[in-house]
This record gives sequence, C-alpha cells and structure tokens, in this order.
Amino acid sequence: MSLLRLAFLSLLNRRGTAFLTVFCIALSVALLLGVEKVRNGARASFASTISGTDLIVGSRAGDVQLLLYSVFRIGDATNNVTWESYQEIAKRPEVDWIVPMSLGDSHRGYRVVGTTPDFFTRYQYRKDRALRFSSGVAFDDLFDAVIGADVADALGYSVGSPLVVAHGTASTGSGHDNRPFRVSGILERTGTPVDKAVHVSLEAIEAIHVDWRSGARVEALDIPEARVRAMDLTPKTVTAALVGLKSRIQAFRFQRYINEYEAEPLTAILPGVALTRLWSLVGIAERALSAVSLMVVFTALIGLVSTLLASLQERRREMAILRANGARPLHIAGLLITESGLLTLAGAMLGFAFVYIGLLGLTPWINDRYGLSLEIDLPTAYEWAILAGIAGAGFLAGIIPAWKAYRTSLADGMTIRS
Amino acid sequence: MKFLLLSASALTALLATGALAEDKRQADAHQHGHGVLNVALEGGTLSIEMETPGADILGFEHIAETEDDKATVRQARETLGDPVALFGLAVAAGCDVTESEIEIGADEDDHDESHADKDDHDHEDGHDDKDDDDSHSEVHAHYTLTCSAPAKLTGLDLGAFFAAFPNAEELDAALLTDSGQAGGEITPASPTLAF
Repeated sequence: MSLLRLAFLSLLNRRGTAFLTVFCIALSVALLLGVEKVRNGARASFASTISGTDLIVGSRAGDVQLLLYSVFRIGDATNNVTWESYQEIAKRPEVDWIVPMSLGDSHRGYRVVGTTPDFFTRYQYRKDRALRFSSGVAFDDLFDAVIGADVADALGYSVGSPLVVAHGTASTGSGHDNRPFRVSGILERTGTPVDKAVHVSLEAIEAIHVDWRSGARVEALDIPEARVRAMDLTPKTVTAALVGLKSRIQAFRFQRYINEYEAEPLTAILPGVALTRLWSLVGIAERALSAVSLMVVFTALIGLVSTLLASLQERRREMAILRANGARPLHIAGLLITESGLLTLAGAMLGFAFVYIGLLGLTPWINDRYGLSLEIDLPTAYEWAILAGIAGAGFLAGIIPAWKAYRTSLADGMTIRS
Repeated sequence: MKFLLLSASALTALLATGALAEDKRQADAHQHGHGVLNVALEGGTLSIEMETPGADILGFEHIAETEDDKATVRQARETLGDPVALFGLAVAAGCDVTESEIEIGADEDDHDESHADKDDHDHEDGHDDKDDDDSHSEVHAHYTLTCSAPAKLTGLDLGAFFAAFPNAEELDAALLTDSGQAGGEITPASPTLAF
C-alpha cells in the first residue's frame, strides 16, 4: 500500500478533524488570494482613473499635485492658466483635442467643474470606457448642469432638479442663489472622481461670478438673468486642461514645450505616469493588507501542526499496527508528512475554488458598486507560486509531527504503555 | 533666528519677483545617479529619449581634456550608439535606428548645449564641488527606431545599460504604448520594464 493511499485512508478515518483543518486552511488561502485580487483590481482601476488623455496642463506644480487637483479634485491649484495661453496651446499643430476645466466652486460639498461638452466624449477611464448618461443629456443651456452618479444618489436629484452653486469649495459657501442651475443629465457610475462632480459650462462659471466683487455679492450689481445671458462670458482663466495629441510620439516633446513655455509658468504631466507615481505612495497600504493575510495563512498552518500533534497520542495504536505490518519508523514519519501536505494542498485548492466562485458571483456587483475592476482570469504566475508555496509549507509543517511520531514509534515499538 | 526666518522669506519674495521679471531664471534639477528615460511606441515607431547627468555615463562632468577622458567619451558614444542592445529591445521586433542624436556635455566638440544650463546643485553626497570648472554637464540621447514587428516588443531590459555605466543608479521611466501610460523606476536590481 503506497504512502499516499495510506495517508488518504487514515485521513478518511478521521474525516471530521481533517475536514475542519482543510476548511481552516481554505479560508486563509481564500483570504490571501482575495486580498491579492482586490489589491490588483484597486491598482488597475486607480491607474486607469483617467485614460485616453495624453497630457494634463496646469500652472507650474509638481506632477502629483497637478494630478490631485485636476483629476481627483483634492486640494487646489496655486494658480490658474490664462485664457491666452490656453488658446495658444489649443492652436498648436500637435494638439488633436483639448478640454478645459475650471475648478473652485462647489455644490453642497461636491466640486463644480466648468468645462466644455467635449469633456463627456473625451474623458475616458479603464482603458477606453467613455462616460455615459444614465439619464438626460450633456449641458446645452448656460444654466444646465450634468451631475455624477454619487451626487445624484446622495442628493436625490433627477433630470430637471434645480441646484445652486456655492462660491468656494466649503459645503456652506455663500450661495450663488440668484443663479439657479437645472440638472440636464446624470452620468453613469464610473468609480472615478467624475461620480462626485457637478459639471457646468465654462461660461456658466463666469456667469455665476458676474455680480460678485471681492468675494461678496454686491446687491446693487444684481444683474438680471437675461442680461447675463447677453454678456460676453469668455473665461479669463481655466484651472487645467486635458490634452489629446495627434501622435503619442510627440508627447514628451510637447510636454517639454509646455514646461518651458515662455509666457507663463506651466506644467504638463503624463497622467498615467503620474498615477503610477502616486500609487507608489498610497500603495504601502496594499502591502500591509498582503502582510496581514500572509499571517493568517501562517496561523492556519500552525493550527494544522497542532491538530496533527494532538492526534498523535490517539494514533499510537495505529502506528503500532503499521509497525507490526513491517512499516519502519521512517515510513511513519513519511506518512505524517504526506498527511500534512495533502491537507494543505486540499485546503489551498478549496480556497482557490472559494475565491473564483466568489468572483464569478460578485464581480458585476462589485464593479458597479465600487468601480473596482476585478478581473476573472486564470491564476497568474504569482498566484500559482502562492499555491505551490502554501502546499510546500504544508509539507514542511508536517516535519514537526513526523519527527515526534518517528521518535515515539521507535520508543513504543509494539507495546503501548499509557 | 527670527531674523534668519525673515530674511529667508524676504529672499523667497525676491526670488519670486525675480521669476516674474522679464528675464526668466530657471534651473533644471540635476541629481547624480538619477536619469530620465522616456519611451513612446506608436505603430512601428519607437521613440526613446534618455537624459542623465554626465557623471552617470562618464564618471565625470568636466570638459574632457586628457586622453583618458576623451577615450571614455568616445567609448560612451559608441555604447550609446546601439540602443537595441543598450535597452534590451527584442531582436525579433526588427527595430532599426532611423534617427539618433547623442549629446555629451563633457565632450569638447559637443558642449554647446549643456554648458549653457545652470544646474541645480543637488548632489546625493550633500556637498557641492564648487571647484568644478563651472557646472554640471549632462548626457542626452534621443533615438527614433522603426520596428517591423512591434508586437514582439515586450519590454525594456537595461541590464546592459547598467553593466556599461556602473555609475547610473536609477532611471525614472515613462512609457507610452497602446495599453496606455505607465511609469516606473528602473534600477540595476530590477532592470526591466514591461510594455
């Protein structure tokens, strides 16, 4: 009878404990693998928060800072870009398209972005997904607004709802309540900062500020809506601009052109590169997660060893019978190592199954709810390595009870003195 | 202390107004051991730009005057002349260099560009070598390659680069391909970057 078969039958005899041990290992492996999947998904969706944009142009700043305020709407720009520079850049022959963004106002805590309707066709995320409207259309009128999915959910807005834009970005900013906007469209959930933004036209940003002087509304300057509409609302500045180039080969040269722009200190960043740089800052947390799940696997393996050690006492008779049938102490040791390895391997495979079944069932929901792009792929080389590593660790862990069994079976021989 | 702080802020203000004045002043960062590598691939066209401090490539940044220094410059120019080997591009991709431009600031015949720069003294070892004749020099290399089978290009392997230039410690890479933009640090310990 081969060692493997013997180990299997012996385990079958103690199937209750064996099952619990396998289950414990399976859970820990599922946790480790699940964390790994979520980690990769988080990194992938983070790195593709914005795609299809070759460069982001803003005033002179570090690349991470420019990325933070232009894409993530965290923090503020130190300076704006003048309309003249924006126009000059837009006219460059390398530029295929350019979408301006004007930031600085808010609506009940959500950032207001002044932009052009091109934003809705040019902004892409997750490689090449475009923004889509779940209801309504892009802004057309001066006082139209397009809101992200989070804004619509949190504030209960639907197409046609009125909203008031506040001056500044504090949630209780003094309202531009004389210029109410109307929701013209609601965007589908993307899992990007777009979900948390209110989009209006560049002219609208100008319009809400026409009767403001030095940060306070001057009642005497309360200009009627009709007159505002008739005014020249060409913006004087924009905060940043998304730029698409005709050829990405030109990207580095064009970036240099912007960075060395004579008339105004500007910065151009490659958003994808800045995103990977930013991830290396926030990515420390993901490593901590991995470390914790590795510790859980380690704990499960210790559990396995202690179960096997505990079982040795009650299995002395089994060992003795094996010895009587000609098994040498080394065989007994081998049996225990095989047992431990089998248990771990079974646990690891069950854990893999848990994760994949879970992924199949939950991915659409997670994608939709959290915008986390989880991929259901065949296990990666790294995951195979984890599986092999855990199975290997299981065999190694078997050495401890095996050594003990080797010693007792030598000492016990055929007689069991209890 | 207070005086120091005040004068520091006055200095900052002065510098700030200086920056806004007619003649613009600007200084590029220059950190020994750290270079920049920009790679863009579109269709069959591969563009590679590399900028490093002269010290990373040559071991010195002054104008090459002695025969030894000149030989080092010649050697570097030759090594930099073969980007396919230097950046570990897959031979199967069939990339041919169609354009290349190598500027070595420390080269007497070719120092028009980098000696005009006023470089920021940002040595890793913390001391400024002021007696250095005037400033840091850089090495710039720019290649355009045409590849017959660009799909075979799977990444960069700078093992040969770091072997040839042991003073180089890190290249800050930016990669633009069909799969989007990516960035990464290439070091002798991890000399590869996947496309």
